[in-house]
Amino acid sequence: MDCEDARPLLEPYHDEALELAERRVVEAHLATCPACRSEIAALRSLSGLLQTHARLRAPEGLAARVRAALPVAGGAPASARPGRRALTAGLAACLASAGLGVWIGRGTTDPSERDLIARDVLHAHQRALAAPVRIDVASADPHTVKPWLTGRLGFAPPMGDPATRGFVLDGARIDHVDGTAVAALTLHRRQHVVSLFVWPAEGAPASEPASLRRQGFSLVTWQADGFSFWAISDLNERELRELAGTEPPL
Amino acid sequence: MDRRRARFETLLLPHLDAAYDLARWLAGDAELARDAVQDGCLRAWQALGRDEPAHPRAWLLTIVRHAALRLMERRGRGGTVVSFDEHLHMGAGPAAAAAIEPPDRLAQRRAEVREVRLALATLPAVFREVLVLRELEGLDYREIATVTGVPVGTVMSRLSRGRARLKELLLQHPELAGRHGL
Repeated sequence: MDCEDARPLLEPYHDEALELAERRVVEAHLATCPACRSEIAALRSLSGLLQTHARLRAPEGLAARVRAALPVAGGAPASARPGRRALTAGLAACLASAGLGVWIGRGTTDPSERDLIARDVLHAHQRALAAPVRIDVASADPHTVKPWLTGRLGFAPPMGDPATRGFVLDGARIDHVDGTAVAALTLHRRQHVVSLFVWPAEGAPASEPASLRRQGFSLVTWQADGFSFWAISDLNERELRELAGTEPPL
Repeated sequence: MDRRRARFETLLLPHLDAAYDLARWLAGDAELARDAVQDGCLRAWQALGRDEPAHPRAWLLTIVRHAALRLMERRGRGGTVVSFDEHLHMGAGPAAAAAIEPPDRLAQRRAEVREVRLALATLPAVFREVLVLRELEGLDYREIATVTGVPVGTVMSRLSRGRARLKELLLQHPELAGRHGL
């Protein structure tokens, strides 16, 4: 394939709209063609810039207004829901704290420990997706988010710039895994929301990312620099692993 | 909780931000966007009694887009160019970070946000809406075709031309273009 054939395919390639065979052909061409590579790089830059600078979120309270406008038709009002969610979360916390208290502090390599933490992480992510507000500090800038977290957690979560890994930072909140306060970052790639939980795991050796699946969500966990990282999303596993990346740790 | 409400909560409400984003970029006006989302959601709710949407997000966006266009027409804003209200557009920007972000960095970010949003707002509506759906909301070509009611080929050519024009506009800000590798 030469440039003339490749050019019309570059945008569909960037937009992930090509079949596997076509994608391979484009990739083979890109490997040999600096001009087309820089075209792809420019497309990525433009996409990234729009995502970080142009996206407008629904104003606070819009979901509540929408709910309030719905006709109530023979069912419990929407306000009955948080009770059930809180109960589920409480149950999860009980189950987890019954056997898990000591593990949080030292990283998680044992599969059964991992299962229990995975369940907490899953529930925290589901709670965040269901809640109207899942962010306490809204900023795409790690230099804003990190001091906010440090001031509330008593530890400084290591944070590179997620943008260098192709993720957009939306902000952060404090959440709880096994009754311990942890840093919960919210990020996204395309329309996929990612939660990243970070807490200190002193003495735990650095580890390669490991993947799990729970209820249709991908989970990836790794240890680096004395911290445990748990990422969860409906993104595919391969892309979620890109968040772990290489040095410096996110 | 009755079943329809449960489906509304799980299928449609997660896409409220996307719906608002689209309506806002179409209308260029926060209040009209809010009304369009609310109007669209109510229609979606009514339809949810009959239909089982295979692609809830595209389905909701289609309905909200129609609601926005209808409201724009009614209020005499059917033109192709969005009026750009800087104050309103900055509202959803980095203001929340103002308290802790160093002033120079904040000023730079604000300027960038303004430049990018102004450029996007300047584009003709047919380009702007495919860019919003693809770049901001991550819809694929087929979903965009469904939402905007045009063939996939048209989506692709509009997207391509929209990107080229947007890039041209952004290149008028050499610092921004340089910093972001355009």
